[in-house]
Amino acid sequence: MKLGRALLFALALLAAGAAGYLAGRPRASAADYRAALAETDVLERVQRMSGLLLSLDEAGLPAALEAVEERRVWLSEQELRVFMHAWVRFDAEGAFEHALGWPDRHFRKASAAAIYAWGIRDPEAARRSVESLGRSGARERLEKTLFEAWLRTGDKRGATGFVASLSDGNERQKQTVVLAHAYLADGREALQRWAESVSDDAPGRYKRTVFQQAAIALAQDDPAAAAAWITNHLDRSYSKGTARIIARIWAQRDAPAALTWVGALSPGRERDTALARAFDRWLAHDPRAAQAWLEERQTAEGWDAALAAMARATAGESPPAAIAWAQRIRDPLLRERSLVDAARTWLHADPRAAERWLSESELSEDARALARRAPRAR
Amino acid sequence: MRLGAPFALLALAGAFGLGWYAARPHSAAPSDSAAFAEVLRDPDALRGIHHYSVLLQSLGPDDLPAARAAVDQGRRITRLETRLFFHAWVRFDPQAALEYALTWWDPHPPASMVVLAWATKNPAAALQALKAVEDPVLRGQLQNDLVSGWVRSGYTRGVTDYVASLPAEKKRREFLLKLLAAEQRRAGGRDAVMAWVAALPDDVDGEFRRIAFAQAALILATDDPRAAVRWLEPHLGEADAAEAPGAIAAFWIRKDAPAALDWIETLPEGAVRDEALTAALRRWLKSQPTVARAWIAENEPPEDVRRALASDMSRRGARRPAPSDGMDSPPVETPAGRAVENAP
Repeated sequence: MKLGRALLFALALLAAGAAGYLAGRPRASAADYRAALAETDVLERVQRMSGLLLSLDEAGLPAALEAVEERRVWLSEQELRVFMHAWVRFDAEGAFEHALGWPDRHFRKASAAAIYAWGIRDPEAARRSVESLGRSGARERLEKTLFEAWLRTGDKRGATGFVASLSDGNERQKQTVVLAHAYLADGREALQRWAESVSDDAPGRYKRTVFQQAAIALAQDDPAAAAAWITNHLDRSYSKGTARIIARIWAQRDAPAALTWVGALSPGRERDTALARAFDRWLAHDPRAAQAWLEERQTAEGWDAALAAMARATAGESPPAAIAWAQRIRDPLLRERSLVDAARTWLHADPRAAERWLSESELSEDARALARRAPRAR
Repeated sequence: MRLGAPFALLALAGAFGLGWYAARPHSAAPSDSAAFAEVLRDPDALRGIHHYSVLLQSLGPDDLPAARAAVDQGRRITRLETRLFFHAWVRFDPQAALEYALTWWDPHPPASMVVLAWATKNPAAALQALKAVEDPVLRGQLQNDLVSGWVRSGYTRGVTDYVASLPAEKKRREFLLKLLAAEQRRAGGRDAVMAWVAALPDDVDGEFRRIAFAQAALILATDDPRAAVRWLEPHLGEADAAEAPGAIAAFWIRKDAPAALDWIETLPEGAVRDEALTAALRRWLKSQPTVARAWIAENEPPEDVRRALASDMSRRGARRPAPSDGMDSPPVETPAGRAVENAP
């Protein structure tokens, strides 16, 4: 009997608590929301609006929506996000659908605000909803906003999966840059692990995009670390182009170190391009040092790309000097091409002297004809 | 037993009170130095932004370093969060806020936020500060924020003269005057827009007056095209109002093409009507090319109009295909829409 009474009393307490909860729930009226939105100071407005919205529920939605829609023209996407954060707490899909129906171009900011808020709460569900839309510029904008939200949640892995699934293009690349910097903020190793974790067969050669952006971010942070990391991947197709990216960035800070690294890479097109890029960069900011460095190495093998870059750089000022540099190139094809380029420039600047050299040169008749065919205007 | 009943009642009242208290929103934000970073990391975004705004309300020199560290070049926070931070800073040291904004790798967004907030508070001081911005491109961009903030400050005297004093091409003037008209509308409603046009300074040139009139007409039309037409009618034929019919027509045709075309038909025959029709059809051809082309084929507009449209087409030519009808069509040009991106 006593137990029964105690149980009854406990139930009564629970009921009283629930009644108190229901009575205590503040429900803002449309007038409250209007007053908050009419506030001219943005900080006051956001504070008041977000404070009211903290207790928004389905029953209170019509009042809030009425006030927000009255101010539709004046509300930016960023401020609409505050409202959508409240709505998606209890009906994300409804919020998004409603936003898509806003008139004129206002649906853009409303749907972007809704997808951002939904993406913060449940990015996978938001993604499914965006993917159900037909391909359009509007969808691309929503994808961009969803990516922003996804990253804000801290789920970088999920965000990577999402970006990888997007069509290959500028937006995907931009988002990959953002991801690379987000990972770099967690440390170089985190960035490297991220790039390596992307599947080799991710759509649209996504791993290559990731490696390139990771190489740029890492090289800007610590080029030696970037070089050490990428060296282990250079035999893989996804790393194509990364050596020249790192070499170029490194050469800006410490060209001899960059060139020493490039010089030690396996011979091939990737190495030659990296060498030319690094040397070009050095020539642009310290030509004397670059020349002195190359003079020390001109008899050694493996510096043809640098010699060709040197010939290109000197041709405008002194074609004979350019020819002298080109003549030191060991690879016959590259040597001939560099000599033809220098001769063309010379023919334009001083046809008699150039012709004299050309007729006595080691070049084949075809190469001479090529040099004479189109004098290069400088 | 006698004590039992009052005790039970008290307990029930206590339970009710606890429930009531639990239901109230508790918005007290943390207030130590790590608070900014903490609220920005709040997984509940609404609660986070609310606490953040509460914290910023009392931002002062002492907690500025902590707030600044959390904002960190805007890399990990949204534009609104960045904006609220600069807005709060401008309240007590706008000059320092601007100097800090100018150190960002992309100084335009934060500097724009600072200038807007500063001009809203003290347009004269913001104007002086803007003169010291060295980069001419950035300075030009920040003029927009100065104009917006100036109108929002309520001290609108001088703002039109300021816009008139800027060396600007027609497109730039159109943009600034559209912004000015939109801000007038925002601050004081349609009456403020009309009053602004009526009080244009006497010493501004004819082109400036024509553009101001047209942009005012456009802003009024975005609210209610028929009201814009009623306002314009007594001015038809005046030199200042020459471009206004085109501005209204180009906006209206996207909202309600039959109504816009009917109104154009009522305009006095000649250049005014032809220019309004050209402006409307230009816009219509961009937004709904199929419908617009069908209308042109059926109605055979005057020769001058057709020639102007043909010249547009040949200029655009192979540059890009006409946009298709539907979801992704170009937006209605509502300057108000652009202005709200920088709402104070």
